Amino acid sequence: MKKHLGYFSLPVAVAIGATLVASSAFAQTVDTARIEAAGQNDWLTYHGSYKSHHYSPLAQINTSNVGNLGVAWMHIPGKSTRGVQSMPLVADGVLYYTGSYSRTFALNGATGELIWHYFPELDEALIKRQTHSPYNRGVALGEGKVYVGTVDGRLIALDAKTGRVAWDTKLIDSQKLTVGFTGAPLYAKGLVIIGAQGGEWPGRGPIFAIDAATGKKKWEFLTVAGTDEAMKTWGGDSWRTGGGGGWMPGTYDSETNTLLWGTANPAPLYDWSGADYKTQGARPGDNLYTSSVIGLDIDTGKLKFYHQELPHDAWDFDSAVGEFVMLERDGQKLIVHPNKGGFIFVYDRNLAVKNVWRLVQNINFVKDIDPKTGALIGRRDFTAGKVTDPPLCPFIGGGISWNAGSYSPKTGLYYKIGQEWCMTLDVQKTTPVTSPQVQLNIGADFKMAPPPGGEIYGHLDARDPVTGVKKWEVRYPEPPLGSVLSTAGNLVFVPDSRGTIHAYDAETGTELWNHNNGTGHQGGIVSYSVGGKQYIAVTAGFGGMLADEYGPNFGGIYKSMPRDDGMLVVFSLK
Amino acid sequence: MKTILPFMVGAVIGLIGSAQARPLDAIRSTGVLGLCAHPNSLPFANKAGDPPGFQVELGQALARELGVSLELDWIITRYQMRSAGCDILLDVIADREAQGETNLRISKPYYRTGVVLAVPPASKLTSFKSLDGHTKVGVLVGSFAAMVISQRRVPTSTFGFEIDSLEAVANHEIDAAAVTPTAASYFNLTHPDKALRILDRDESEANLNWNVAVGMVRPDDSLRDAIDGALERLRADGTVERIYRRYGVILQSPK
Repeated sequence: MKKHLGYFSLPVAVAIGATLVASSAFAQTVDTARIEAAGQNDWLTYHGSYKSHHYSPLAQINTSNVGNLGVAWMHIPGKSTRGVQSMPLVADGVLYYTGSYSRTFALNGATGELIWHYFPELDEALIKRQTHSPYNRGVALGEGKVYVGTVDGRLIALDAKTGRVAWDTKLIDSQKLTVGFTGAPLYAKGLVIIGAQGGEWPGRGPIFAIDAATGKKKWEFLTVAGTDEAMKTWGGDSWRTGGGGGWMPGTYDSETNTLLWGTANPAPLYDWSGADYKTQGARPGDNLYTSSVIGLDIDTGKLKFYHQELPHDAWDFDSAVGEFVMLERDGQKLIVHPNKGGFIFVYDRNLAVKNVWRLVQNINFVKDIDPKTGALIGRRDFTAGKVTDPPLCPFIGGGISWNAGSYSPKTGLYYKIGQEWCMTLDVQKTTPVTSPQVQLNIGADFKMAPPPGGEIYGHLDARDPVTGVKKWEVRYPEPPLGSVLSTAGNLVFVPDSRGTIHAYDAETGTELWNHNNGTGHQGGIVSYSVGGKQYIAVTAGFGGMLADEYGPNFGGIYKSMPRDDGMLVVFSLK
Repeated sequence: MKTILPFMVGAVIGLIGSAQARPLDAIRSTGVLGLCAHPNSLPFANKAGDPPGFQVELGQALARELGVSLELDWIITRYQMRSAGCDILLDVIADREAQGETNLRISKPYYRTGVVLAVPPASKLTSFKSLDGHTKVGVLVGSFAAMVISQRRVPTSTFGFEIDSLEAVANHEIDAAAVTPTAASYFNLTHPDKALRILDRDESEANLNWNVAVGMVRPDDSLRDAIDGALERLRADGTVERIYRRYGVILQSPK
């Protein structure tokens, strides 16, 4: 929380010199218009731009020369409990990223030299009690500041030039609710927006909008029963403990002045109500607005529209994951958004369903989802007891995990990782741990299992984002967990779980280059340019609730893969 | 299932290990009795130590009886218990089902508890039987009390924390809170301006009543006998009752 001047004096001194080297245009502010424009040299927000393409228009590195890609520099953040999971951001030649414990670094994008670092003081006792911590998934940039959330419920603004704390706002009583912030914030229109964790924890999934300049809270929207209408969808006042955190960053649609955000599953995770879920169980009803995408007026935080992708989600296939790809097709402005259950939803800009298609083959929590209405067909709801034949598909890690796919406006293809795995379950009527501090409430024991009649695997698909028609596919023996990047150099980069980063031809899927980083990837990947040179930056480092499943289930390299370790690796042409 | 100590059911990945608990001879030779307790759960236990919680105080008394000192392992989930290396837990439900889930062996029970109704002082409610379709009761999410009361077609209001439920009663948002007598008693001790009336337990509902014992991690027979003997002496001389009373809890004899 506090920086000690004596301790930090040396890095700050280095910062001044390095900043001058990195860019003479450092003073350029990052604002809504600049993020909207998504200048090709930068990577200004988690999803790359408000359009969420995770695409770089840089083409210096391309299909003809990617074979010459080599490591330009690396950075080791240290104390990387549960690996490095963040998405780097880049503005004016300075790269910002976070490690575990919200440790934030500003580095010269060309050389990796440290400009400044900030290690917040966190409540260590609280962190030890949290099940989903202490990793952090990135920062937001805006108005000369770097914004980072903490697992003890604070949002902190740092001066982008010096790393000094500009403001530090406590938003969540994490001592009581256990959860804090792990996802990256979003900067838009003078606000910093961030959602709390909280799928399986009995809170109400608040999304906060904070004044970017002052740190004062402007509004708060509760993703659980945030309206009177929604409150009626929670039987027995179960809205008080509904979960539903918006734990990953959404995006901003300036044309409609709307903040788009995804929300998590309700708590408890596995409900035992069976087919009577509308009236029975721990949380009777549809449980609005969990496992939904919501559109909020960015000025007021008022709900404008929503679509609940999974009413009464009883499978942990929430909608907080993934990007909101904005594109145009036949004169229609569309949004493409993945759901953890393995389906891709296509919406208009008011979140009306235009299509739903399957990325993943092994899905049996529903028979299908109506592509015209988004209605679930043939739900599979559980009562207490074992679920083994067939196992539930996909696995709790999701048919789609939280990291981002990529859309290339150049090829018109959407590159997305699918995960083919299932699980056996023993659903239990648990007594949740709530006093004095809530704990994760899964409500079941579970075990990874292969799909019926097949094997576990992961795949990168190149598909039409609107129709889902597949152009090509690359398979992996274990599901990759990192983000995907496409570039104007007709390349698609996939950092996989074994530790290899692959570059594919964006049109054909032919592998053109790979490099072993020595540890699994489960974070972000971006491209940027400094001094006319293009770089690819990727975070590496494995560990956490999902990655820890790899050793016992897949063995091999995962048994010896380092835990609580990680790094940032940056590549350029040799 | 029922728990008093907040041990998580459900899967937590990665918390594995083997129990390191020791027989009585080993405890005596090392001079240490290990107690697993939650670090932040007053009135049960509190790592900050002011006050330490009745589990810590009772653990110290048991250790003294065994002629050893008490060593604390601060844990959150039952999975952590396996790698913590402690010998005992306190306030464990003396129930075969609960015992099966935790793999603990249990001592002779030393008090009885369960779920009670806490109501405003002027409330006309007198028991679980007086609840009806017009009374709204605060229940913990997913709890047995939630299921039992809902089955009686009594409207419920779900809470994540017992104290929130008790606050809601004090603020007249709901008519009653179904909570443990321990939580209600400690609430009254720490909120004298909002003190609630605590109704008697209803023994007619088996799932809402249980005995409490010392849970032991793989004890030998000597340790079980020693713990039972120590408990008996501490109950007989009033030590157990005095410890719990300091936290506002009046103990009732086990059945």
